[in-house]
Amino acid sequence: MQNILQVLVAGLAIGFIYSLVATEYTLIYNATGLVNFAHEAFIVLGAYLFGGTFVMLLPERSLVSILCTLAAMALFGVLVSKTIFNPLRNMTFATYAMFGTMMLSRILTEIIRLAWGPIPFAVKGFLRGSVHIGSVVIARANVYIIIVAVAVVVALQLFFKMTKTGKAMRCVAQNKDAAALMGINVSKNINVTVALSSMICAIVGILITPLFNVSLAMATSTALKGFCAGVVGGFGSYPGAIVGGILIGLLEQIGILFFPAVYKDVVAFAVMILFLLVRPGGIVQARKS
Amino acid sequence: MRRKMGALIAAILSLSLVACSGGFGTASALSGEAAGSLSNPQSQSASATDGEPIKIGLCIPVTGNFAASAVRIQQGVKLAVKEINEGGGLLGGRPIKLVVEDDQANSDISVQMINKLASQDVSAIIGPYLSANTLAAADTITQNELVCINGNSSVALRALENKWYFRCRAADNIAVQALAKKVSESGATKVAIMCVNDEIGQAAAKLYMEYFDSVGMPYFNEGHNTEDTDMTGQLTKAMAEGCDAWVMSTHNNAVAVIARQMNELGIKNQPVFTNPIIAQTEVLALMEPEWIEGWQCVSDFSYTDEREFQADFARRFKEEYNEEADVQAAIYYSCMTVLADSIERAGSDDRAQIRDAMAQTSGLQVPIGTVRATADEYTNIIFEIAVSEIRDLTPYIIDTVSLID
Amino acid sequence: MAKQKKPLFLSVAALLALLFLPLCVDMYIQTVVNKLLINIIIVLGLNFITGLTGQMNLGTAGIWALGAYTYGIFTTDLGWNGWIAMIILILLGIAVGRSLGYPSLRLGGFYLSLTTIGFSEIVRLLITNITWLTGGVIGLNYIPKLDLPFYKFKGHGDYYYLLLFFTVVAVLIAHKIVNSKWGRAFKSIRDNAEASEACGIKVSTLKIQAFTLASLYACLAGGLYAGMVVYINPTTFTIPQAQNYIAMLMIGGIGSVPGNILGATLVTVLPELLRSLGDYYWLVFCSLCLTMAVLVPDGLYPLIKKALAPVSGLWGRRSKA
Repeated sequence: MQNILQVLVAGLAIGFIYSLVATEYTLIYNATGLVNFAHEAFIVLGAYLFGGTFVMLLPERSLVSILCTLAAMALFGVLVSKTIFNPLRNMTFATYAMFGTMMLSRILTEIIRLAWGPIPFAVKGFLRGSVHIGSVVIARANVYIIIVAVAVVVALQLFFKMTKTGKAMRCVAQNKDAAALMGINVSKNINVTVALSSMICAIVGILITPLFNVSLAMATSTALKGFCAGVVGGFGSYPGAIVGGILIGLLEQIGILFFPAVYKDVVAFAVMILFLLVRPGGIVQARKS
Repeated sequence: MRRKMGALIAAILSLSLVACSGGFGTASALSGEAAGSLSNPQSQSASATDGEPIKIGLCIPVTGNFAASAVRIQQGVKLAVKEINEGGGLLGGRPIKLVVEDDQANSDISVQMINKLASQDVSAIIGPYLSANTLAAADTITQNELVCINGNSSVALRALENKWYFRCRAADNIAVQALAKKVSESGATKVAIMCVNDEIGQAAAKLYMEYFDSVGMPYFNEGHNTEDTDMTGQLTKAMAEGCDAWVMSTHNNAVAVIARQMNELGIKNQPVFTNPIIAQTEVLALMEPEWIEGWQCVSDFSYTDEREFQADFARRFKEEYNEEADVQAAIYYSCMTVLADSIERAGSDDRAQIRDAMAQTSGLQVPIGTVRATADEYTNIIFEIAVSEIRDLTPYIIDTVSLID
Repeated sequence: MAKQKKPLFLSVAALLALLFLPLCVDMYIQTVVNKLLINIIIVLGLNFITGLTGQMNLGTAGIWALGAYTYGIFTTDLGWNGWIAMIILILLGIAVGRSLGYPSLRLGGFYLSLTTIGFSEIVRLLITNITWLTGGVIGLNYIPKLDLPFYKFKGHGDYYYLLLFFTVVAVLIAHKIVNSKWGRAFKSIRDNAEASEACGIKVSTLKIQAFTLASLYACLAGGLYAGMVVYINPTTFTIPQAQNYIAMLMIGGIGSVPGNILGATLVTVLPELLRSLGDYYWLVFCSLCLTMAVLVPDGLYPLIKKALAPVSGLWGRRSKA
């Protein structure tokens, strides 16, 4: 019994991480048609900014550090959007843009290595420890991940429905020309979208810091499985991102109970391929081209 | 068609011109200071020396997934070089000049870089960092007749019986024997073997299982991948199997995850034995004290070692870099020391003579032990390892195990 | 008369340079060149999928791994002759190509790239964990080269000629296909698949054929590679490696054989040339790649073609696009 509960909680927590990852790249995809293969580097950058810079500068003030990180990443997102995503999204073939973001990922990783050094480190005392629910021991980080992820998702939906910028984003996602005709500055809107996506990447990076510690490769498998999660849930759909993430997170953990743990990474890919062959629209049957 | 062939021919010609003009790039001096700054390439200044430099190649993963280790390796090697050069160099006043090449821990690039270093007339090579890279480069070392010394621990390297390759570190089987014995002595009833899925981990797991089979200790073996960031599955399975002792062979981030999750799952007060990883400074930095309190590991080196030779090295290291000496730094400092000693005894920078001298090194003391090389023994030159216990995030040497392989 | 002599002279010069290469370069450059030849073969294959039909394939490392390991297992564990192993690789290539081709019919763009990533990672994980067959991460050692009945290869220097032979054959075949009706049919899929279908081109058959060709090339390159390096382990066959091949394709010139060769050469050789930059060389290299991706998305070869256009009169009367 203890086993099952812990497995479920771990699965749920990591599943929400995948959901957040799926959300952030869906934002960019819906707005620009680009798949951001560099999102892994964005997540790592967020973690390094938090753990490597702001926590150092403001030792006792986690919340302020988090806010500074979000602000920095938002600025970074705008910069990348203007200089790189804009030319990329206008390319003739999707393969060109994918290649561009892959190279961007490598550059960012190298910059991080040169700026902070390659030696991994931990953010001491940040979301460490566990909570006890009855006889079950759960990592405090996992609890926070679930809470924060839900909050982000809810906030995003509210943002889309209630704010002008959010509504403008939905218009841009649906039809750029029509949006432009309605007076929406499409480029600026895309910049804001990328900034928002970067902030979510930063949140992911901060959340996984207590789990994986800050290192150059901390987000590799997370980012990849985030892609799988989005596809499984329904590519291009936000509810899909959440459902897909949770499903993959849970299946991974449950799977370990039945086969050697070293094959855990295969689960995400196998589930994704299964869905692609059988139900390409994903769980929520998204019909995004 | 012709135009395309023309462009192609132009490209080939220019490539050939570059090739025949003698080589790609110049001898590069890659820098690698400890975590942080965007640093400039270092120049080796000859202080008390003004003879012709002796070139030593350093083939390490400056970029890529193992960049952290390269930083430590450079710390160790460069400290040794500095001390030697300041002490008058080798062979009567000749300074050592390091030529650093980045192999990104990729086997193909390791081979290329060793060839490149060989063509730049280095007298010997320190590196590569990964056993897999050394395995891939074994033929290259032999063909170039180049002495290669590093701190790889895989037993597969001994099986190569390559007379140009020297391993300045206790091989994995020594470490495993030392720890497995301790498990038997700890009174445990069932051992969980958790080893990473790479050539060190898989070899260690195999050795552990053989040992436990031979002494009749029941065990449960479940591996994990290097990049794995969640071990709940493995741990809960092991707990369900009734394991009350743990042996591990893994890498930095994985062990941090394991330690944290073992703590979260309530696994306490059980004997845990690991490979040197938990004594490494940057790994300790990832841990909280209560996670690994009382854990034991084999340890090639610990900066808290009270023995005079080791303590002195730790002090000099701290003076130079203002941080504690890490295991990899100590290992590669030892490699450089052995190499320098061999050059001095060989009386020349000739590769074959260095090799012969190195095969006869006996009684030389280095931070990680005492070197015992014999002319008819291959590869292994260190046959001892210490066992450390972690108390309050500090490794303390509690035992030294010495085995003749 | 002088005009016609120039191309002949250049061709002969190039041929001599290629033939005498091992004699004038040191082992370092030789190993780089040998790897370059393997890379060229793989990129030529990749070109059929990503270059011509325009589908992003990130599974190259997985296919290449299958080729290398199959060759390794057959020649070491089973002790078969290398050439028979190569024939098995051809069968393997066809099998893998067809199986990867089918998903590509239903998926496009990003979905396909994810599927190929999944395929590659699954291959790598299986190789890493099925230890009794593949040696796990300890890998396979002492893989024999593809010896000729009358000659045993000794090392990189003479193995170069075998690699050169295979590369030349691969280039010629690829060139023929790219510039034939078949090749144009491939290209039409990238430009507009529906229009091609409407013109009577069976898009699904072509996509599978593209994958099969790419797999054939990658598998055979895997066998040659295994013999060349003698020791293989799964850490070589990673997703970043597959990205390198995409880089070679994109930077050189999508779709054309000379472009592929140019791209493979640049991506293999440029990091070596940049090493003198010390700690920054990799950053500079990746930045150059990104700049080219943004500014010259079609690759460098079309630019070179245009730049050499005024000189084209010297080399031929046909002006083929």
